Amino acid sequence: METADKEVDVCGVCCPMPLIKVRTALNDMQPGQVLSVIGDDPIFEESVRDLCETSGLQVLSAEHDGRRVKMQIKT
Amino acid sequence: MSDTKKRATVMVLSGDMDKALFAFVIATGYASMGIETKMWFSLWGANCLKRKRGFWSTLFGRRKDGPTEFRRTENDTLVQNMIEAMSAGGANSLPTSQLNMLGAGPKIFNYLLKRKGIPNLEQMVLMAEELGIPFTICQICVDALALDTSDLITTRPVAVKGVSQYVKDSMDAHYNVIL
Repeated sequence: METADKEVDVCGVCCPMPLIKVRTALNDMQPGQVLSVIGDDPIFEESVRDLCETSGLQVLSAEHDGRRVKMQIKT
Repeated sequence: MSDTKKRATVMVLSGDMDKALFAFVIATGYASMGIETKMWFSLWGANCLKRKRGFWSTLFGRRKDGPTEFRRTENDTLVQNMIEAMSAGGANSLPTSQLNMLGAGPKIFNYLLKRKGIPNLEQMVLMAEELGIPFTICQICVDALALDTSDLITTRPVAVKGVSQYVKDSMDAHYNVIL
């Protein structure tokens, strides 16, 4: 687990809100910084992994806690 | 092709709330995946950018912007004002394509969206704008349907272009959808 430079909580919202929130957060971050996202949408992890794949970002970790998933993304 | 940057265009033609909402879901999805997205609005699709107005004030009231450079006023008719007045409710009161039930459908639909944490159409428009999606309105809308370009919910001015610009945009894009 790395320390996150920015944290985003997207619990309680549906697709495509997690993606939009993650992208808005990524837009004001520098390359090399770490973003931590927590979400509970059923397809949250899948969507964030797709986003990282398309934009060439790296998923550092994904922790499951019941329905909640905490993911770390390196920009 | 020399540049390999991925692009997408989404055209909103239909004025049904559900179709327009999903056009915005697709567009914001593309934009958040890092793909340059452009949105086009034509015919009833432009209704989802309008600010909420009253029926009578739209029918008989004075337009905010007056005649613009994209409009020829010499052949205007009252029919245009009537069409404007019939679609003056703004983004959140557009009809749904299924189960409209004389206007109850949109209210139920909005309740469902709110309950599930999905943004409604108006919030979706503002979010798309925040993601940097440029909006373009077709010139026919402004001229024939008497659209008032100064009275939209968008914070940035919306471009008014013709089909030639749409061809240029869609030829550059890898993905085009008309909803």
